[in-house]
Amino acid sequence: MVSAVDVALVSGYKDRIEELESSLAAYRDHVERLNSSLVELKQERDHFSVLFESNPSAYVVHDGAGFISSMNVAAETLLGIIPRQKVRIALTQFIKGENLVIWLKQLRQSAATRQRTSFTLRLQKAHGQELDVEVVTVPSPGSFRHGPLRFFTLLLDLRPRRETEAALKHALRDYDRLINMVEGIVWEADSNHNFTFVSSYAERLLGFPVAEWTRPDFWRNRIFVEDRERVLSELDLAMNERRELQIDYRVVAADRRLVWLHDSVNVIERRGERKMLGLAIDITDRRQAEEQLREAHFNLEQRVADRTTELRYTVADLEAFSYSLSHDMRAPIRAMQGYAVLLKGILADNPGPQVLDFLERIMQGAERLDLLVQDVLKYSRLARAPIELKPVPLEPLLNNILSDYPVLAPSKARVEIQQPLPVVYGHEAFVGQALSNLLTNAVKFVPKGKPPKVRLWTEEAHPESGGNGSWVRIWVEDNGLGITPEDQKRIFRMFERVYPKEQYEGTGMGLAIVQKAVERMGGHVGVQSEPGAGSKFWIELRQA
Amino acid sequence: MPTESVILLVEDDSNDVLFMKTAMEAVGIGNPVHEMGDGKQAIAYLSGTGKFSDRKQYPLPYLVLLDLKLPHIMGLDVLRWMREKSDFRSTIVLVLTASNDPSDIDAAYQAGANGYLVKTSRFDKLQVVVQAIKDFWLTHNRPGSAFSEEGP
Repeated sequence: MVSAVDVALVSGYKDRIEELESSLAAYRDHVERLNSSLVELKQERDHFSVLFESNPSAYVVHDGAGFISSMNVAAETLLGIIPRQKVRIALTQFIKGENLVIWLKQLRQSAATRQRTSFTLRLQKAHGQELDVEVVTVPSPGSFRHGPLRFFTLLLDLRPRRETEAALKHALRDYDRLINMVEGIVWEADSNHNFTFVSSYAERLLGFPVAEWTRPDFWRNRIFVEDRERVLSELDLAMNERRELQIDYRVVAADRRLVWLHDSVNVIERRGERKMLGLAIDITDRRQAEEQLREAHFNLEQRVADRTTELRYTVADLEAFSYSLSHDMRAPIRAMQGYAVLLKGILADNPGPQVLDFLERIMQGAERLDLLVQDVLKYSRLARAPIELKPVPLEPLLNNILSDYPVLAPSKARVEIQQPLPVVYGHEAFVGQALSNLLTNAVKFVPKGKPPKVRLWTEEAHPESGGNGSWVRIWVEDNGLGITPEDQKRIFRMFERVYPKEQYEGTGMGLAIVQKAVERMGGHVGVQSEPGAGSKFWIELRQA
Repeated sequence: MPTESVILLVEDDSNDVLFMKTAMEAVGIGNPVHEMGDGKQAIAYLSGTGKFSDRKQYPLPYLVLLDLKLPHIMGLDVLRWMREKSDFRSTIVLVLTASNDPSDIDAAYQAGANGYLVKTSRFDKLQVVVQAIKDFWLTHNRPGSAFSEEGP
């Protein structure tokens, strides 16, 4: 039989069991949670372990006496230890002499103050090789309840840094040398136009020691006063707008010389501050050359103007001269002639023995002089008259000439003209003048008693300076005296004569007039001749 | 042509005046010749100022022989002056000058010359020219009505 007490007891146990069971479940939960935390921690530890091991910096964990509890691969490599050696190793093994004393002292200090220490020392690696390192030691954070105080030490190999520093130093030295080699002032200045650096060329160029250049207002006072305001305001503008600037200006050297500079300026901004970098080149020579060129140019223009004025006067003189020739100079000749004739008339009844002969000579002289004046006049008119080139048919022109000149009449000479004749491009009066002079010359210089024979013909020509288009060469051949090669050179000049004027009348202007007329029409003249074998004169004109 | 018609010879060169008068005499021109040494005098004669106001002594000319290069007033200016005056618009003016420059010749005709003769250095040629003047201008030529009205 189950009593009420029993029932009560049983029910009490049951409660207790339930209680215990729920506690147990709670514990189980707790353990489970702990376990999972542990897994997380383990995972975290593994992560840190990987980080620690794979870190390229050498890390060592050790105690206050330097005994190593763990180190990473980088540390093993740095210290030259065989990987994962089971032997207990202390850092103190690698630090020698005084360095060791200092380091241990620092360790103690670090333990006391909980501060990191840093110390540069020379390590002796496992196999004796020496290595400069920076040792940075940090005491482990918080207090370890278990075990002694730990330290984390970073060993920093100083070689790469030293190499970089050395390389930088070399580079700087090369750079420096290069800058000082530049044939120009390499400079750096602040916003107040004060130099913070100039290359050594600065001293060479202007004669001020480099140290003086960095003094306040040095540059401002060196810029030539006429250029100063312009240069400084341009610099300020470039600075404000942060743009490049190219500027030419003058500076006063130590020996008071003015030196022209071409300055190329760059504005840079470093840590919020603007400054200028520049290269100033000496362009004094160039400027002087330019100046000289300008002067030369000016002088040249002046000279051209002077010459033009002179020429204008000369032309005016020439015009006055030829006006005078045509109006005044012939008057006295007429007087000589006229009075000789009148005298001859008065004396005609009773002339002295030589009087008539002398009067005749006076008249002839006067006439010759008048012809000469007229020819000079003709020549000067030919040289300056404005002309217009037009097609000129040769045939009617030659027919007119033949009928105008008695010396060309069939009774006096045999003139053969080969038909048909082309049309040339010229000025009719000039072509006529040239051809009539050639034809009258051709019949003039013939041995006494020999009947003059003249032949005129044309042919296609190819002058060297002819350019495009066709040209006509007009030949005039005579059976006259002929001309020696030396004489051929001078017969086209003014007043040149080959034959004595006593025998052959003329002014020596005929061929000069031919040449001038043909020249004005853009043509050419020439002669082929041999003494005793006649002459062949030619003129070349463009075919119309 | 009335032989008493006046010829005005405007010429500054006394030699040329002498030659001209000699040549006129030689070819038989008997007309009265008034010599004017410069252009100013010629204009004074034509406009009848000063002593020239006496038209009996200084009648208007039938023919003017005009040199171009003259002191004070040039021949061409005398000619232009004449052609602007209705009285002298049809007076016969022959230019007689040393110049045979085409520009002088053109200018003379443009100014209203009736003829242009070039002075030659040879007296016999001058005589030929003067003979031609006599034959044409003083013999065959018929003057305009302006002169006929005033003339005898």
